[in-house]
Amino acid sequence: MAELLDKNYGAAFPEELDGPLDLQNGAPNCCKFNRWGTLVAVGCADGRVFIVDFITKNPVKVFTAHALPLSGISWSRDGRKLLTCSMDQTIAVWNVLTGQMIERIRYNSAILSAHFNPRDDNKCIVLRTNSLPTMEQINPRIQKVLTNDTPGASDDIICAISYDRKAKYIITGTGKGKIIFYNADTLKCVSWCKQSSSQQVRQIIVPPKSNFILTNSQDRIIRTYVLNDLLNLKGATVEAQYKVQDMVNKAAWKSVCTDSDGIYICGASTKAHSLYIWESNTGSLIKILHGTKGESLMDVQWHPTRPVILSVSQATVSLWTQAHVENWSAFAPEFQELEENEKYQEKEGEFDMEDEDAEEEIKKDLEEEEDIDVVGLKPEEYLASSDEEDLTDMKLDQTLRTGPLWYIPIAPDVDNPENLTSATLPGLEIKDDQSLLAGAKGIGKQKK
Amino acid sequence: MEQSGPLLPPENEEVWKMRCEECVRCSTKENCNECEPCQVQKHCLKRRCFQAKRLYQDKLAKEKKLEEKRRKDAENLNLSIASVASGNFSLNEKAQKKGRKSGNEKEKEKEKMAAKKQKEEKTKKERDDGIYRPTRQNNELKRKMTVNRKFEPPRQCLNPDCIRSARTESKYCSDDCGRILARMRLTEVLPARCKEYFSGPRTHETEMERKKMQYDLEMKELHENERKLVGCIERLHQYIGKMANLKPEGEESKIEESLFEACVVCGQNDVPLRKYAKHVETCWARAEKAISFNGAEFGSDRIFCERQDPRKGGFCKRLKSLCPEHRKQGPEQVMNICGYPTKWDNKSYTISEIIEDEDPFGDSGCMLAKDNCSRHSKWVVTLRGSIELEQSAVLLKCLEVSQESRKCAQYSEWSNNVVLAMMHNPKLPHPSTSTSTAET
Repeated sequence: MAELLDKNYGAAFPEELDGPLDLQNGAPNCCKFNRWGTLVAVGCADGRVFIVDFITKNPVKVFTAHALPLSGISWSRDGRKLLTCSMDQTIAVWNVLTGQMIERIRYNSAILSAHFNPRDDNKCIVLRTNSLPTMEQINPRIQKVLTNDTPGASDDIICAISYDRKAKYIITGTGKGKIIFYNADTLKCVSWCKQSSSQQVRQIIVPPKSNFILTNSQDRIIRTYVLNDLLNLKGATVEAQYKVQDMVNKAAWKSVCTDSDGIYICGASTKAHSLYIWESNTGSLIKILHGTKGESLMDVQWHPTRPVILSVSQATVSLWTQAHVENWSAFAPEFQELEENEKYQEKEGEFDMEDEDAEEEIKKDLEEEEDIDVVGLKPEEYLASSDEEDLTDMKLDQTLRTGPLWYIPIAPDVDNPENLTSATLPGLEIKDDQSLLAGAKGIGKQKK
Repeated sequence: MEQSGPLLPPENEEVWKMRCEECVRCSTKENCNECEPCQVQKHCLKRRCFQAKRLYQDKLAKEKKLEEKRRKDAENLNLSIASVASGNFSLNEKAQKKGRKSGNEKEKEKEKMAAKKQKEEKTKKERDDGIYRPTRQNNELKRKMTVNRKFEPPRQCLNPDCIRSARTESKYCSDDCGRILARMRLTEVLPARCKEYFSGPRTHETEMERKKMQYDLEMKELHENERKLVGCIERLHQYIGKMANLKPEGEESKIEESLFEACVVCGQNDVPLRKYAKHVETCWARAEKAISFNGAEFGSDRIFCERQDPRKGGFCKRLKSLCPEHRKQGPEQVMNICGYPTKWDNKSYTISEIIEDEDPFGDSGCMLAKDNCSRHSKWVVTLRGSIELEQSAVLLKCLEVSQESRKCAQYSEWSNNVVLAMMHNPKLPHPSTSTSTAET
């Protein structure tokens, strides 16, 4: 029921540009939504990470993560940790609420991508240039290499990596178009298969709520597979369940994302600043969203629950939403939209004190009324995954001491404390100008 | 409608003496004793005739005319006497004629001037007598007079030993009495209050102490961290010294040529893997040069570049080893080989491990020629960059902690104040809180 309410009736994909996110002149590079879509982490080319609150569109945390540009970001399951990887040959794990670095691991070459294990934020997988991908455990420190034992593997380098959505498998794509599955715990190769084209696999995408996986290949085609079909194969060539591509221009895709159910696929084109949206089961192109000319896209992300897309181009992060048409008749049943002024004719029973036509009210028994809990917070079922343990893990806590980090509290930004009025800080009693400052300090103390 | 007039300057009292005897105001016989002028013993507002101004001006005009006439008569008289004395009647006539003519003109001019003056006065008066505008000047006089007009008996000077009456607008008869009372207050009240204040549970004080200790600990930790980081850099230098003169050997392993990666800076999709590192480096240098990182003052040039920009005079605040504009060849230039520690080949260390470790680099390194090694490109530069990043993070934390501890010191100073103790009466409830504060 909640799912139905959350999806708008009608199309569930964005149709127009809503606006940019304000990033204080950073040069954004990559972006990632947290699990619920309430926070966005944006990495910049100067090594900074901005955490932006999605509802207010303002950055709530900024920290300098790396010395060289970021290449990838990943959120942990409870949203409290952030994994960043960069060209400065290190990956770093951050505590989001305090902005402090938990750990930084150094490698011998630039890192291309890194992902947290979706069920365990102590583990992550790391892909580097010129080396085999590794699975890292942070505490205690263990590093395991993912070896490629498939035939013909000596010159076949792994180029794309991802966890599946339940963290059972690690999915990798190679330079020759192979897809290899490893067991996430033992790191043994479980299955491998070939795509119909032997071109390099650029990116592997796993939608958070469905059983598909998508691959973006060098041949500019985006293929969708059902996960279970690909398991337990020993090198067979598989055909994709669905295929989408740009028929007209044969554009290559910088980055691909899907909505959380895997129904729509969004591809960021390399050529022009445009986003293509297809419906995956028919493969038909539904919409092309055009951004400002001259900029090239770096990354694209679909919001986990809403029909909103975030696209990162070289200078800005843009938000795409559905067109908002105001329907005034929806506010009240007798509400009519008028084209021009009309003279008001009151109805016969308009101003009567009692409604003559209404039926007599049946007085309810007060004892039968239930106590409705309006204060407690329950985790939303549509946000949790299908596993049962989630509903207890993901219990929302308003003080954020336990449970998932679903928002970040920040103090209001006061430039000039002498200009504080009781409008900005409720409860502030202003006696005269001199005591304003003292009053503000007093309030600060009391809140502690 | 209560019409209160402004306080008129004394000479205008004359105005209100004119009466037409027909209007309602002229018929009120008694003063109201409520309006402002009544209280100042001027003419009551309710008894001011409406025609008074006009009548007064008419009177003034008449008087002026009379004066004029008299003056003229006096002049003529003098003239005629003079003419009689000189025996020149024709002159007299002429003079008279002249006088009359010129006199007429002069008179007319004079009349005009008079009329103008009257108009000005009128407007002035009207302005003054118009709707009551409570200006500061008006109020001042009134206020002074109202104070004096208090119908209370004069009060006694507050000094208990003094029998004289207090000055007006003061609680004391003289300054000395005031000082004596203040001294008495201090000697009697202060010790008791202080005792009460300082002996009670001082939660604020203890809180600040605790915080101060916490901050001190943090500062110590940060200093420790800094020391370790500097030590790490020294060890790096030592290691480079060890590797300095070794000759390169071995062959480079070939990279797959047909693989492509996307550049993270410019977004170009198909950068061949062979040229990837170089491409990203040049891309990044280009992007960084486009943004300026200048600060106004010169800091320490251990961490930050701090090279002065000749045009704008600011100091470059980028990390020293990674600054694309001002970077010189660092210590790694003495090495001919790549030198990547073999210790690190099989295991990726965390930065904390590298910093803590006594010998993080080991003894042997990658023996390939520096420019040919594609697996470990520019590792010294990036390592130094990472360490400098850590150092700058430590510096920032130091700054925050020192600011917080300064605030703590300030707060604890405030709470040790004797004046505060005097002013703070724990028995009275604080107006903004319902219970008394924690000090008691």
